[in-house]
Amino acid sequence: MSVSIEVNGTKHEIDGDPSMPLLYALRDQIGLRGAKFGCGLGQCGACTVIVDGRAVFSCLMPVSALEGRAVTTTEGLLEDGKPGKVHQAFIDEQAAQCGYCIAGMVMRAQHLLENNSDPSDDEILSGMQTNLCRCGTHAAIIRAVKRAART
Amino acid sequence: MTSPIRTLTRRSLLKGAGGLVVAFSVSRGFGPAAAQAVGTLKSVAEGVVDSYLSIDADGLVTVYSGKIDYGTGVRTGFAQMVAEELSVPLDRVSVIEGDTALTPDQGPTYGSLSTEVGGTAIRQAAATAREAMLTTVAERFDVDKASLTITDGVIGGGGQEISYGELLQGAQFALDVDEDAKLKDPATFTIVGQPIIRDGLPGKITGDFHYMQDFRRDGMAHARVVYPPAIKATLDDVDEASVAHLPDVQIVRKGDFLAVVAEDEWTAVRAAREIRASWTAKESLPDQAEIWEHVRQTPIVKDDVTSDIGNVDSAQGARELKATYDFALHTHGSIGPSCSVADFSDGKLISWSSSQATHRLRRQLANMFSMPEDDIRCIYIEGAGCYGRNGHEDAAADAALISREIGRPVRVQWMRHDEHGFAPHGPPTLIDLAAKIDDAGEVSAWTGEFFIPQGAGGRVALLGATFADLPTSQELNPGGITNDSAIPYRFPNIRTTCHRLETTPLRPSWIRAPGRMQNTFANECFLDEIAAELGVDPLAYRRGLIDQSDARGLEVLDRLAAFSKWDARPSPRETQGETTLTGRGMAYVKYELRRTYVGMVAEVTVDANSGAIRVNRVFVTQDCGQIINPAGVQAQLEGCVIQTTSRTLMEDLTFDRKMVTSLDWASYPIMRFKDVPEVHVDLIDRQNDVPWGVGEPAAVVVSAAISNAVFDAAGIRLRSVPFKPAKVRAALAELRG
Amino acid sequence: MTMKRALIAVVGVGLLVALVAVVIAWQPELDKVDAGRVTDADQSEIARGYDLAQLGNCESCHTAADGEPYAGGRAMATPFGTIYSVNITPDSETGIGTWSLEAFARSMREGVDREGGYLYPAFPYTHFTKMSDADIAAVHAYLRSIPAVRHEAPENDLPFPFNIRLLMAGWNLLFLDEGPLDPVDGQGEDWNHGRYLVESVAHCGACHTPRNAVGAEQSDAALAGAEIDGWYAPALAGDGARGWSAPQLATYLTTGFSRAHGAAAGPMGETVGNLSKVPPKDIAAIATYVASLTDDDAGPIAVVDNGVPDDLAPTHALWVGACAGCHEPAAGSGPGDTNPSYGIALSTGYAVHSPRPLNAVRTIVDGVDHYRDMGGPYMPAFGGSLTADQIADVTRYVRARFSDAGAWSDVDDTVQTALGQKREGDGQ
Repeated sequence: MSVSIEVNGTKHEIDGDPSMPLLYALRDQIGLRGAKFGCGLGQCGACTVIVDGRAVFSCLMPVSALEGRAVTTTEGLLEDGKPGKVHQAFIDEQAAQCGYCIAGMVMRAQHLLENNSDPSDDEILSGMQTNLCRCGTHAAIIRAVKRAART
Repeated sequence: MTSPIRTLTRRSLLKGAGGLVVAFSVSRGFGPAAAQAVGTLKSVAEGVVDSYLSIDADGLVTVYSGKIDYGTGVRTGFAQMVAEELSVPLDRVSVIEGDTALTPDQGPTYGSLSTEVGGTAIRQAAATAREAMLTTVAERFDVDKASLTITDGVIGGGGQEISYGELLQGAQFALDVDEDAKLKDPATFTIVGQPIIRDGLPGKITGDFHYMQDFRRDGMAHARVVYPPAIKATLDDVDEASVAHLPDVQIVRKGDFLAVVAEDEWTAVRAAREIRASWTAKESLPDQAEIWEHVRQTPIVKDDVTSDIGNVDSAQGARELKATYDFALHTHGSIGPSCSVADFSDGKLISWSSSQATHRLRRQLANMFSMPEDDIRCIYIEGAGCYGRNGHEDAAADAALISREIGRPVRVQWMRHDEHGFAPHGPPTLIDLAAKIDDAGEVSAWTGEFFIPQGAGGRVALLGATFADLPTSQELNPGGITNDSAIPYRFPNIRTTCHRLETTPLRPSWIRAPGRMQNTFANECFLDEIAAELGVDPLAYRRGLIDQSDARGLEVLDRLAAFSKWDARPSPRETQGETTLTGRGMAYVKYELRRTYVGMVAEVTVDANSGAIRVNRVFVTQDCGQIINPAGVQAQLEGCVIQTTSRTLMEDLTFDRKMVTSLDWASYPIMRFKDVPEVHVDLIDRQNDVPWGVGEPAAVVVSAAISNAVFDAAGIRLRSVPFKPAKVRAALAELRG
Repeated sequence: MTMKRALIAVVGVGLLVALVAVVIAWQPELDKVDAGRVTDADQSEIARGYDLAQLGNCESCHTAADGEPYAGGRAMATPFGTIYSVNITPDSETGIGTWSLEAFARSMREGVDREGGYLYPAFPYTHFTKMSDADIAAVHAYLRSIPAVRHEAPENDLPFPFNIRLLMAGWNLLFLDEGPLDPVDGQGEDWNHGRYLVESVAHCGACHTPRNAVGAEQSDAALAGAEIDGWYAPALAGDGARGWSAPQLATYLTTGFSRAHGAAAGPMGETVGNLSKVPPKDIAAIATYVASLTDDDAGPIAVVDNGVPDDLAPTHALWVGACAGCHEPAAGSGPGDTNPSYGIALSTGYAVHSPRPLNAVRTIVDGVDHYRDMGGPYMPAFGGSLTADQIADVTRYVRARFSDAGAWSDVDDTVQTALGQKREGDGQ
């Protein structure tokens, strides 16, 4: 079967097993590398993307559930090929070490700021709580989200 | 993507936090043919300039590093050092890491030695190259060498100029590294010491970066391993029909090694999940409830005496303090499970992985497949961060084995439970400390006994080889874990002994500061216990005990006191029965007694009822000598503190008699945003000194600083990592009587 | 007697009854005591008070979402309107800083505040009344030791006549059985301690016992299971109860998970978070008592797997992609035997067998996220990623495949309700 989904503004026909989570469609069929496989259990947030305005774990999102829905990944936040607002804030704060969690962090932050353009410190912590980082980049990520909220 | 050499061409200037610039390009110079080759493609011998450095006809510089960057920023640091030494813009320097065909074997990337050892070697090679080029040009221009200048890779003098590229025309240097080659004066540095944005960082954020997990090879299949439900198990039967409903699934079975292969990744995931296999699982692990008795009863194969001063046995002292410390098993917890791609064809193997030790991995793979090392090429690609030897090498062995069996390139991606369950783990560590205090209130003897696994510097057996019954080495490899068992404090009688244990429950491996973390935890807590016993301020006490001629150590402690606004007084703090208790504690290390100095103050809140500890603020003062990239150092320090706070407060690997049971983030929780402490960093920069490592030293003082702060707040000693609330509640109940 | 005189008589008698009622119902204001925190009390008493406060879930009800602990303001929807919990920190103005032990004990035993006003039984004084004097004193000592927070909880939103607090005097006459609980002869100390905790401070019946039309627990159906906050609190006694062994239950109450029963989610997840901090002997006692309420010693529960339901074949793709990674019954390979996150057979959980789909739907919509800090069972919320129809389909799939009970009839409405209660903007 084939499912039609919109990713970063472009329509894609996804063929094959309809149970395949969006993560694999993004990485293996569409060729986007931003969303990462971290746990496959919805626990770490490395695969976070935005679907219809909501941050979701793409590792648990079967493509068959996505017919006609719009997906945004970190690549979709580029503006004319250049880093977008949240991207630039993360770059300015050098908010990545190994960086494997970071594209998910960017999407979580994007979702947070879409729903709350002026978050308090506590709201930033709550908003980011879902996503795990192992390198201990949290402090820089928090600075980056604050910077993004300011700009 | 078929090139083995990662091409990251972000040559645009990117605005940095400090207003400065620069991301640079990494890797070029070898075409498609080289991608297919095994063996050695250029000089890789140690001590030869060409092993570390080449400059092409366009003047583009390539650095060849045996040390690799797993997110720490050392790749950027190497490029900064070389660009500085050669006076070329940073974006003309690229770095190739950990490729056995191209880079020298500089040993595994561990022990916070990348910059100190690896970077210094590369810098010396660059200095040798520059001096040689200047000598050549001086002769050619017939001018005094000292009169030559270098600007952006162009040598000028006597009204003439020539670029490196024009001078070399692609030729090799054919020079030995001159250990005496003059290094550039730090006063003239424009690149070293700058907070350059780490290579690859923008792409990691925008999704452009190619991780190991993103690497694809033409004609590649996707595989998943199916590890048994026990650390030791035999595979009895596989029901092939159980995956017959999935398209084109191939089952690879060799001994007790089981894997599934499919054309696409999701089908492989499903096949691994849905395949039915029966195993005979062995109960090979001790009862976790009795882990410390088990450690204490494990046979000792040898004693390493790491310090022996005076005679602790005959030392006089009426008062004796004794304490036992333990430090739980921990897992790396890489956010991305290990991954590797292998292409085994015509008796030759190319293996792509995130191994921190590609040369060592090549030796292991040669052993495993009984083939010459020259027929194997191991290539590093940056993956999800690990903090030592996690599952990367095992995934590489898995991929190589599967590729050999099916005769085509294959990608193995471990699942979360493979990583949590089968990657090697930090071993359980038990430490007994004792001190005698004489009538004058001075410590007359300090005795430390460290129960830690045997082995060091060898190889961790490859899982795939073990399951498939192929050759592999079996020695224990927990890392150089006897370090920092000896102390930086001057007592008249000291003896520290590491009892090396024959076995340890799970395959051990180094995780960030192995041994040094556990040993420093115990030593720095115990010193704090002594200070409390003597009723003295713990910072001043340490300051008086270290070598008074060690000006750098004294400066670190003095600056820490000022920077953290240290509240000088004995611990514990006086309390009036509050239920929310606050306190401060500190710890100090001179890493391995010879390099990076770190002083740390932790400020904590203890909920006297729930036993919950919150680390509010952490102050770090560090002297790591010359700072190559302060932004990178800052990131490492924040990472050391936050990651180790998580390990100290929360992390506890669990297992039953067969198997690790903490197989995901729900059963092995790590710190999330709400609990992250504020980290304040005070860096002492010594541009005229050796650059020491920063990835580990600040981590080793975290557990003790927190424990000592908890004592200050609540009057209880936490001697068992992790400091989970139940342990704190028990200690508080004991204190109340 | 004329009609007029009769009317006067009736009114007179009525007034007299009302007057008598008011006199009976009238409760004096008790004197204020010195305001503020008391931190020099007996530390052991405070510590015991803390344990009891955990057993009593005090903080959970008396803390608003993102509010300060014990400062009140959590909204509780009841069939009679919304009640807001009050501030029980030792603040003198907005908390209970001026409450003497006598005043506190009266609130716990009689449901009357210091000023003499009646409290609503959303505050479970019908259970707390059974606590011992010493335990009430310990809770009081503990609550005086916590940080004072100045925070005025919102006024209750109750329509007439439920906003007349005095009515509770009559309610209490009917439903409040005042005073401590006597032990049962012939039962062990552990059992009696467990019964005491269950009936008093832990107030298990407040959720697990069905209520009558005026909101009182039905005494003839104690712990027989009830709906609460859009979840179903399963029966612990009676016909509908599934058996527990005491060790199983003790594990469940402190870790939130039992392989034979599933995960504690929703309000029970919060409860487990509190119980995890309680001394093991209290938990063991509760487990002993509750396990004794059923005959079954809870041996292994038969795993049901009816296979992919024919009429829900398309839903199977959702199941495989979103659920199977954790819930497909273990295939004998992989980590399913050792870890709750893999291979949990749904048929062993209560939710799929329940007469109503509440818990199944709420778990899918909200996930299980109570144990992130302590470690424990976890499930991501799907309310922000799957559509209402998809959630309903998965719910029906789970019921058909993993339970032999018949199909649920009210899945779609339940999903709509659950999604309505999920905060807007929440994803996963």
